[in-house]
Amino acid sequence: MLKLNKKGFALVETLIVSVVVMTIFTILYTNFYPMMGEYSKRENYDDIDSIYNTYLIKTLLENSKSKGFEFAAMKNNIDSIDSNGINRIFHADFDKDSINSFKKDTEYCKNLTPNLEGENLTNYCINLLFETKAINVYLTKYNLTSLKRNISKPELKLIMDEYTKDYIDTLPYYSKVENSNGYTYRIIVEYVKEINKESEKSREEIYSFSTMGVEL
Amino acid sequence: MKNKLNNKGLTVIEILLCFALVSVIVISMMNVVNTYKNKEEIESYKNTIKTYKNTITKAINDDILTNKGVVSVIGPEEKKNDTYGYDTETTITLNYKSEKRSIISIHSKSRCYNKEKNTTTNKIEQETDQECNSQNSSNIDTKNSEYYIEFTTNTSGSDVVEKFPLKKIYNLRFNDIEVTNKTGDNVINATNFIIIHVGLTQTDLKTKYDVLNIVTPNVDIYPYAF
Repeated sequence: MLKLNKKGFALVETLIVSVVVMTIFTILYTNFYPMMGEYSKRENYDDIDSIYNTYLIKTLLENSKSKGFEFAAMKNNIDSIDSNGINRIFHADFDKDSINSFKKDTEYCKNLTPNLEGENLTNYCINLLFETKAINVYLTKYNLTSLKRNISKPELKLIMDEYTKDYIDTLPYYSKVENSNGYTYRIIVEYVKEINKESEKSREEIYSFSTMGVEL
Repeated sequence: MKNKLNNKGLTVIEILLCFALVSVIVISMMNVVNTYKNKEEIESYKNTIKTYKNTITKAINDDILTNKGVVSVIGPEEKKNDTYGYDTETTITLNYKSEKRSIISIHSKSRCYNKEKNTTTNKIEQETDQECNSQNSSNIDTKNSEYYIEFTTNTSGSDVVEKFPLKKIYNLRFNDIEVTNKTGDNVINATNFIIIHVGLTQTDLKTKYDVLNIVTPNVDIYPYAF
C-alpha cells in the first residue's frame, strides 16, 4: 500500500506565505526608502553657516527696531501675519544659471531699516543680505501652529516654494508663544549655496534654511 | 531480505543546480552591495568633514561674537617650513573691535611615497617632486601626512591655542585658502564685509567642500552689527 509522504508544504500554503512576506518587505521598503531622500534634504537645514548668518539678520532687525522709531512698513508686515501666519519681508532675484548673478536689493531694505542720519543701516542690510546670499526672509509668529495650519493656502504659494514648505514641515510647533528670551516672532531665512559643478547631484544650487526667534 | 534504499540526501544534479543558483544570486547582488558600500564610505567621509567644519566654524564665530566683531584681517600669509614645500603654514589674523586678535593657522604637512624605493621620505626624486606638491597628487602617504588647523585666541589676555586635526582620510587635504576683504575705497563693489574661505578636496568625493565659509561685517564701518 502506498504511503503518502506528509512532509512538505502544499502549494497554497507556500503562495500565502510568499504573499505575506512580500507585503511586509514592500511596506518596509516604502517606509524606509524616502528616508534617504529626506536625509539629503535635511543636511542643509539649520547648518552652521546658515545659523550664524541668520543671527546677523536677526540682530539687524532688532537693532532697526531699537533705533527708537516705529517703521510703518515693518508694522504692516507684522500685522499681515495674522491672516496667513507668515509674511515675506525680503526676496532676492538671481539668475539660476549663474549664482554669481546675485543682485543687491534696496527696496526691501528701505522698509526693513530706519533712515537715520549718520547710521547706514539700510546699506548694511543691502550688503548683509547680498553677501550671505539670502534669497527669502520670512517673518512669522514664534509659535508655528497657525502657520502650519495655513501652509497649504493658495496665497502662500505666491511667496513660498516647495522647499520652504518642506522645511517648515520639519520644524516643531514651538507651542509657547514667548520663550524665556522674550521672542514673540520668528524669522525663517532661505539661502542659496554655491556648489561645485563636479557634484554628483543634478541641481547645481542647493538651498539651505535656518530659523531664529526675534524680538520685535 | 531486500536492501532498503536510503532516501535521505541529495543527488549530484541537485547539488550542482543549487550551487549554480546560489552563485547567480550572489553575483547579481555583488554589484548592489558594492554600490551601497561605496555610498556608505562616501557618506562617512562627508560626515567627518561636516563635523570638522561645524567644530571649527563654531569656535571662530563664537570668538568673533565675543569680541564684538572684526575690524581688519591680515592674510592669508603662507610660510614654507622646509625647502620642498611639503610643510606649509598659512595664517589669517583677525583683529577685533575689542583690540584683541586671533590667528587661524592652517598646517599642511604632506608626505609622499617614493615610488622607486617604496619608502616614505621627505626627499624624493625630481620627477615626482611636482606630483607630491600638486593638489591632484595621488602619491600622498596619508598615514604619515598631517593636516590641521590651529586657532589662537587672546580673549583672556594670554594666547590660548586650540588644535583641530583633520582625520586621516585618503587623499584629503586643504586647498583654496582665501580671504576676501571687501572693505576700502579702492575696492570695486565694496560691501565692507570680510569673507574667509578654506576648502577641502578629496579625489574620491569629486567635490570640494568648505571647512570655513565665514561672512562677517567690518564693524569699523558697521558698528551696530553686533
